[in-house]
Order: sequence, then C-alpha cells, then structure tokens
Amino acid sequence: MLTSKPFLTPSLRQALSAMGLTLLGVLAAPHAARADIVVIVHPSNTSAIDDPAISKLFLGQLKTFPGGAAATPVDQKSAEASGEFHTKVLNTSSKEVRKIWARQVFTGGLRPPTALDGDEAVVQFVSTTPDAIGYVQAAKVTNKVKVIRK
Amino acid sequence: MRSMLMLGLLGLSAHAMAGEFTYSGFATVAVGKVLGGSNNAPLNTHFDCPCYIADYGQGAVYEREWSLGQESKVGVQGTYKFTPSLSATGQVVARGVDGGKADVEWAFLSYEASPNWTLQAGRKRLPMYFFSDFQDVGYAYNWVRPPIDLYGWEIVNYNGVNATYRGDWGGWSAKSNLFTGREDSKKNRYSKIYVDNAQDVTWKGIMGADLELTRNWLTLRFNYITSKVQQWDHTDGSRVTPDPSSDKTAERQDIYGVAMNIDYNNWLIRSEYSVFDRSGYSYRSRAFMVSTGYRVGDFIPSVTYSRYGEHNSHSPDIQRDEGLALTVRYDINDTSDIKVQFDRFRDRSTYDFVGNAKQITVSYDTVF
Repeated sequence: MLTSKPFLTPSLRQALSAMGLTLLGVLAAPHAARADIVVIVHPSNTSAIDDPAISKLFLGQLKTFPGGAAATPVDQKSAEASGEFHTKVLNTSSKEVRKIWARQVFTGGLRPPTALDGDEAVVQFVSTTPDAIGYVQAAKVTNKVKVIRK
Repeated sequence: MRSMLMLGLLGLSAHAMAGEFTYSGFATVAVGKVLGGSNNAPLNTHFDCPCYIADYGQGAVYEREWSLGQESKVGVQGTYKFTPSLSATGQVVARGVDGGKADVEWAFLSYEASPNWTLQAGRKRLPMYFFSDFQDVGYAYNWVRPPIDLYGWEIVNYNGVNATYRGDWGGWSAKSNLFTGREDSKKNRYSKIYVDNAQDVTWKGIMGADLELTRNWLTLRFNYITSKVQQWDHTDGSRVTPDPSSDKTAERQDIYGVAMNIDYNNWLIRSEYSVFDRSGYSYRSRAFMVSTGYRVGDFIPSVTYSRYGEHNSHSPDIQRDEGLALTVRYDINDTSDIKVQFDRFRDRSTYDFVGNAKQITVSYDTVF
C-alpha cells in the first residue's frame, strides 16, 4: 500500500525557512544603511524636483530640470555615499546604475556625472554652480546650498 | 580607411591643446562548447556540427571542442571634448573570432545642439534591437549573449548621421533616435553561416527611428528601419541580390519591433518582438523572446525563451528555431561579473540547417 509522505519534511522546512531569513537579510541589507543623505542644489534653483526627476538626471535620461533649465549632476567618489544615494533616492543599486551607464557610455559617448571627493567638495561645487545638483550627508549642509530632498 | 579615421581621431586628441580626453573600455572572456546535437555533418565548408551559432553578425559558432575565441573580445573607447558641446568618440573592438584584428565599431563627431538634441555623424552600431548597439558590452546585460533568435543579421554597423532627442513627456523619459546611412560589408561574417563563398553585402538608404520610454520600473522601445539590400559573391563578383534575372538594382527590407523591460524590486523581465520583412524577394520573419530573472544578493538567475520563424512565398526552404537559456550572473564587484549559461537550441527548419544543439558557456565581463 502506498503511504503519502508530506513533500516538505519538518527538517527541510526548517532549513528552507532559515534560508529564507538569510535571503531576506541579504535583500534588506541596503536599506539598513544610514539614511541621512540629502539632495542639494544652488539656492537660486526654483525647479520642483522630485525623486523621479533626480533619477533621470543621475541616470543620464535627461539633462534638464523639470521646467527645462540645464542641469549638471555631480556624483561622489565614495562608494558608501553613492551607494546610499542610489538605494535611498534612485531606489536601485550601484551595480544597476553602473550597468545603465555602461550602455550609455559605449553607445553614444555619454559621460556619467563627474565624481567629487567628499561632502565638502560637493557643497563647494553646488554652492558656486547655479545648475548643479548633488548629494551629501545632512550634517555637511551649509546655508550656501538648498536642500530639496531629505 | 577605417583605421585611418581612427588614427585621425586619436591624433586630434593627442595634439589638441585645449579640451579633455577620456577613455574607457570593456572586455569579455568567454569559453564554451557544444555538449551534443542532432547534426553530425559540416555546416558549409566553415564549421563542423554538432554546432551552436552564438553570434550571427560576427560569425561566431561553437563546435564540440572548448573554444575561447568565439565570443571573447576587448573594446577601448576614447572621447575627446573640443568644447563642452562638441566631441569626437572612437571605439575599437578586437575579437577572438576575427583573429584579434581590431574593428572600428564606433567613430563619430557629436554635437549637443541643446539639452534635448544631440547631432552625430560618423560610424555607429545599427540599433536594430534593444541590445544591438551594446551587444559587445556583456557587463551591461545579464546573459552571456542576447538571444540569437533575434540578434542575428549580416549588418552590424552603419556610416551616417543621426539625431538623438531626450525629453520628459509627462513623467516618462523619452529618448528617440533618427538615423540614416549605409554599410558595405566585404567578406561578410554572417554569410559564412549560410554560404560557402565569401559574400559582399550592402545595406544602403538605411533610414530608421526608435523611441524609448522609461517610467519607474518600466521601459518600452519601438523601432523601425528600412533599407535597400544588395549582395554579391565576393569571389567572382556575380550578383546574388537582387536575383541576377531581376531588373531591379536593389531589394527593399523593413525591420520593426517592440521591446518591453521591467525592473520591479528584484524581478527583471526582458522581452522583445520583431518582424524582419524581405517578402518582396525572400522571407518575412517574426521573432520574439521573453526572459525572467530574479536578483538574489549578487546573483541573478534567469530563464529565457526565444523563437524565430520565417514565411517565404519564394522558396520552400524555411528557417525556424527556438531557444531556451538558463543563465546565472554573479556580480564579482561593481565592474565585473561571471556568467554561466546553458542553451538548448531546437532547429525546426524545413531544410537541413544546423540541427539541434546543447551548449554550455562561461564568461567573465568587465568594464574599465
């Protein structure tokens, strides 16, 4: 006589749920990063800039702020800072951003945004460049730049 | 001629006093072999089956022995900015399948007329399908190669002019490219798969447009290309297309299709449908592919199904095939990856083409 056997034995179930937890941990990890990155522009910039607009500028899909003014995005050299920005604001990962830029660099000669070294350099650049947009730690913001996204 | 142009571009950049020169590159090292297949006969005089066509455009075909040469390549690109809005870009790619000879894939002048419009003139890759113009940059996609049931024609590049538009259409990023030009391919590599004798192929009067729309997790692309086609036997110069009995000087073809990509949380979907219409003198083919992947940490496993089929009122010989690919991509770091791909190719052609095949390929891709 045939006896039916559960497809998942208790020990297999345990192993699978442990794997599931590990998987969740891996997937959730980027969100555990410090989330105090803010997006800054020149104080004279009055464009209404939401997250999708920021994404389009940093992924090379658009070269203008909403409203049509030319934009100059600046990146950060630090993998930690850019990684946090990609996760929090662009809602993607640095690897995906790199893939998107690889396509654009090798098919049309587009250049990714210039990467500056550190928050101070980004604040300095944005405070002196009317069409600039960058990201820094909230603590490094001065009154010479305007925070458009916390 | 092409290398002269390239030298010219590089020379310009080396000697100019003002401006800015930047370079970058990419490389793929791929090794693969056919595990088994249904055909045990040579494919023309060039290949020995069982075999697997990995890249029609470059004439890359795997046989039973492990091969490093079919899809390995290295590309270097330099861009020189004369002014913030005027630049020159050159890209040279050396391929194992071509004995490492460097081909100029891209060489163009680019002028940013406005933040929305860029005008370019020179040599480019022909953007026939979504992945066509960056097919060499393995790092930028998740397969070892885009599905061959779509990505396989005799012309890969063109010389001409194009205008690219980028804009925001009610929250959609829109990118559109209008282009025109021609390409003369001597001893065409694709033709090695079909014909013993070397062939010269010309696509002239190429006119095309594409439109890519992106919003959040969705990307759509529509494209249309039309051109005149001519083909000659390279050895004796006799005309192949149009048929020698025809009083036409060239035949016409139309290529159009749509692609839809989704990047939703960790899900990745790539899909494409395309029509290649040469029904005025030969076949009309339809092809599609659907690929689903899921990102798990640094791994992206994916499954891809693709199909190609012809209708031909001029000949009973019809090529039909389908492919199934299982791929795992592992991201080593932000600039390199390793992929393992198993392909099952089914040949359902009405004539003796290449036969079924099972193929394994391992590749390493990097950008620098």
